[in-house]
Amino acid sequence: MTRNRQYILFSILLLVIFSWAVWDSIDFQPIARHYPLYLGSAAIILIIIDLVLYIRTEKENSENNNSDISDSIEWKSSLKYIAWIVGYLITMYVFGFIISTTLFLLFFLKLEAKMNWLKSILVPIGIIIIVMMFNEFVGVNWPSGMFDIL
Amino acid sequence: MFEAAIEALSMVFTPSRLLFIVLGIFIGIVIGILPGLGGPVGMALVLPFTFGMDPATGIGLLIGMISVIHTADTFPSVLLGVPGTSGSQATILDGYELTKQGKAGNALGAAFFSSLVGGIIGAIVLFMAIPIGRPIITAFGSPELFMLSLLGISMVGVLAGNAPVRGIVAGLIGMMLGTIGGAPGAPQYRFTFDTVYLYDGIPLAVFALGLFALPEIIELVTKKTSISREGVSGSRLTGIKAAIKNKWLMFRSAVMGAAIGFIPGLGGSVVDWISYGVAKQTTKNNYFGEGDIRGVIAPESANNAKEGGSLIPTLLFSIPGSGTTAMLLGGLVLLGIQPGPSMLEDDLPITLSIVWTLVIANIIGAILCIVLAKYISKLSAVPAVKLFPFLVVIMVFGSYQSTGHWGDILAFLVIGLLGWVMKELDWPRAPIIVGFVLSNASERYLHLSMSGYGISWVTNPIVIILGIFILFILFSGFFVKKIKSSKLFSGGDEYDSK
Repeated sequence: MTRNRQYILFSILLLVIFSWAVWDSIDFQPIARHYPLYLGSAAIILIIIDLVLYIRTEKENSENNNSDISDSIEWKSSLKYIAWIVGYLITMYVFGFIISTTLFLLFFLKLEAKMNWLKSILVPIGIIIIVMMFNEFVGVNWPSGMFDIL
Repeated sequence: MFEAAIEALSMVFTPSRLLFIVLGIFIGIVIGILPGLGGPVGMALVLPFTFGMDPATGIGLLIGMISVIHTADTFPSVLLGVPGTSGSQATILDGYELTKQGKAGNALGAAFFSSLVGGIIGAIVLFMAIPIGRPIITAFGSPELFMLSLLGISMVGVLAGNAPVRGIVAGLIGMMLGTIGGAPGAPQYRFTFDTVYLYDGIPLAVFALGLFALPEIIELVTKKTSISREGVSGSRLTGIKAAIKNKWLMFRSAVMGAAIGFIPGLGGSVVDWISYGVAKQTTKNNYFGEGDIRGVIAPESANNAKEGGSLIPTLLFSIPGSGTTAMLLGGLVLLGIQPGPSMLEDDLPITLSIVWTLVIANIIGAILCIVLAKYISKLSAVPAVKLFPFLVVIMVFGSYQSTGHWGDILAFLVIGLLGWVMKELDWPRAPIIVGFVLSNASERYLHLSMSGYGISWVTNPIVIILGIFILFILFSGFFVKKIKSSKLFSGGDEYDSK
């Protein structure tokens, strides 16, 4: 997907969200209604203006042969790392912070950072010890999971 | 009063009390370095230990800690692009850029020196405000507070750079996100999807971490580089010299920070943005956002000075302006001190010992951070693929500390993805956070002003003055050309050129 299309899609998404917010705010009590109603209405107008200006600028650029470079390779790489984060959080939701963090660090350091097995195992253990010390002496908590073994 | 100040200094300069000040400083440095923790967590950690302490010692521990949080929070902001606390967000714009250029040392040296000076100025403001604080605070009602929040929102236009329409939309996105939760002045929950977690809105720490930090580390690891593409170089001494060369910028940012911190409920999260925005508009030949050292000096000076300012309503009126000062208030009561008029009479030595502790803690904290900077800045040379998982863990852990609810983590992810998309599509993100922070405050004060005064509040003298200042900020292009010739408002030449 080209960058132009990404930009237009994002703007349309914002339009949809603000339109929904304005429509939802109509049912609020009068005092609570005004702020989101006027903010949302102003945003809708400005998004449309920005989109028109953007499309006009990009048309001029394409006429001047300034091509719209698609950086799909970087997007795919970014999505890969986002998938790592999402996987980490899903694991955390199921098994809790300690196990998910250990697994996340272990596999990421081994598979992506290309560390050897010894470092990939020792580093997560060290981190977990630090986190446990924080819990013991500072009293901060960590997220629990559905099957909270640790 | 000066005799009392000397007496208070001798109280503070006893070995046991100095020891607790230094202990508070070390705790404050750790809290500041770790993203997502901040003042309330530090207070929660330290408060139980103040049981049974004598007041001056307990104050040394508490004030020593909060004085240096905004010094140490520069480390993650500059080195990693991750806000250490909500007061160090603006520092990222130029500080992190300097790190990418291999000038982390410059940024840190300038930031710590500015923090030191800002903190001392904040303490001086607190000292000077002791006899005159009451009439000033009582002069600020809801109309004036609304205008101050408008001042903050006007920064949106300044921060938008070359895309003003996009910048304003970004500000509106932030303001809209700020309306999530309970409406001020009405029994109405807005946009909560009947989720208990959203009844109090999205926590600021989660918002800032997601919006700024997550997109940065995704970009770093995608590009398979380290944060500093030029290696770790730059000199702390060069940064300090740059701060000294821009002394007027440092001074006026600190005064602004103390003045904004003075106003309860407003200053904490926007003082750095306001000082950054004003500096951007009033400094000649600037390239803010591209590694201009002055973009580090202004917010860092302001956010440390803010602590001194915020203690004025806390000590004189028992009005805490933030979560940190609210817990400090509780700590003072635990120590047997009752904030209020007695702080100017019977407990004046205690008040003055607080001033001295602020000064001493800022000096020691800044020196410690300058010394540590050489070692900690090496983080910026570590390949991003090795830093990435640790940063993710720290950010998730830090986000969770906001409310201890899984919603923190989900909000962090959703806001982070929004921030990533906006970064990829060149949408400015700074206006979002300004809009978010000020949304509730501006709506609340507007509602109070209209219901209490009708429309007559627009003719209040302070409202008019603030209105003129806002117009100046928004349309300063014409005015600044004339004012920039004045030495007081010139930022000086860039000491360390690009």
